[in-house]
Amino acid sequence: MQSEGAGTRLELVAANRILGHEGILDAFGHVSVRHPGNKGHFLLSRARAPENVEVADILEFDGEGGLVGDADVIPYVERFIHAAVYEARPDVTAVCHNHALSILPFSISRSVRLRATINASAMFGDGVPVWDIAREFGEDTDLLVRTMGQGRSLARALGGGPVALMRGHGSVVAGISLHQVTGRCLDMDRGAKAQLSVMALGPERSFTHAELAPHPGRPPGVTADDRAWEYLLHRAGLD
Amino acid sequence: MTSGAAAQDHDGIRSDLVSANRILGHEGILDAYGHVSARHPGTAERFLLSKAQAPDLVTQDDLIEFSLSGEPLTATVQPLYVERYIDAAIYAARPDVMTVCHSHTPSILPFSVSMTPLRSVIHTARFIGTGVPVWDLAREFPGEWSPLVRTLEYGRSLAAALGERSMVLLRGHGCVVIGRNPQEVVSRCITMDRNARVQEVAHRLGDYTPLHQAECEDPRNPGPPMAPDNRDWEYFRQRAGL
Repeated sequence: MQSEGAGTRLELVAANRILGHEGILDAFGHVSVRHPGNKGHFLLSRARAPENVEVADILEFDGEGGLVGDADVIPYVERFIHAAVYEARPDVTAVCHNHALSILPFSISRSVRLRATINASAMFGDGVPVWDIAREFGEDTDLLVRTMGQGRSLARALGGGPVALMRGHGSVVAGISLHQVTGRCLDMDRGAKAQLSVMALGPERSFTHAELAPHPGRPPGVTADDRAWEYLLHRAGLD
Repeated sequence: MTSGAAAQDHDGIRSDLVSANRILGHEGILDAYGHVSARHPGTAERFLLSKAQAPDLVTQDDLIEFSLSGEPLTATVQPLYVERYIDAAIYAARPDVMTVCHSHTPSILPFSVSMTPLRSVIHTARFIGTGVPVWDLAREFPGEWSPLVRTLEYGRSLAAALGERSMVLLRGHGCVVIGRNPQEVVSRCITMDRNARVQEVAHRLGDYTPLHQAECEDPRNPGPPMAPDNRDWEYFRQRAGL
């Protein structure tokens, strides 16, 4: 007998393994999906390196980040990121919090914003918002999102967008599916690396505002389509 | 007489020290050179360190016991790390230190030469603090021909530069990272590498916001030496094929 959402749980494990294998997540960071049967809840692994996550590690959380059930396990401290983004964004079905190395310099830079330079990073637009925990919660935190209040503050910075940076910490990436969030994380990484190289090379052929504006003929953001997902599963040894 | 618990402790620390060697080699923190040691769990006046070889190749049979003067407790024909005096002097000066790593990690080397201090810019590297001191052997010992910490006297000078901190840079050479167990030192070395890379890129981009002083770890009052779930140790052991 399979539990409700067994397919979703398998896909969540795959997203964990892929994002670990591709170096977006390492020992830390996590990815979640909205519960398919209860839109107020979400699924997330116990505190474990994403590349090691198995189906048995997947836990259910309520809308406040509370563990559903009485499993004797350690949850991720920062599960409130997910709870707050799902609460604020009915359009969002999957969320990834990561410390991808490529975006971290942009999370602390006061001179340069992470912005669109290539097709993959068109979602950055004119600049990705940066959330600084010290602005609302003072300069003596350990930078971790430990409460719903902090999660909601971060969700406000994310707004309706696909990515928000967290100063000195990482990023949060949201999307309509695990496939899309996985694709966006990889595009975020490519975009950050491309921007550094572009800036080192001198004058640019920049995107125009018209190119970056929403267009009815364009799908709402890049996504890992079936071909990309098949490829990523293969690379992570999951096929 | 050794109690059962102490014997288990001893086996545990030897096993964890080998893991630390392999992980730090596998992750590129150490290469053919550099080393990591652990204080002897039963005898605080001793420490364990491999014979001289690349850390990626270390096994439990390679571990040798040293006194805090940096000499092996029993005569050995094995080659010894020249710079074991780093470890000896730090264990002597810092009773709280249980593990020491000396590395030449490429990402931190520019900060050992530059006047721009290495400091915490990412939350996982809160231990680094607001500015890592740089110890300069050539300045401390004018006329010395070797850049290596090859005497106990040099080790003591370096330990004094480390002071109460968790890390010190060696000008044009590398760094020393200390901790309360091999897990903590592995975690610190890996986050130090990430921090240095992020800081260097941010610096090239212009102005940047480092961690505020209160966001950094107070070396006199650090948090737990490892996460309760121990998830990075599991992850890095697996990556190193352990």
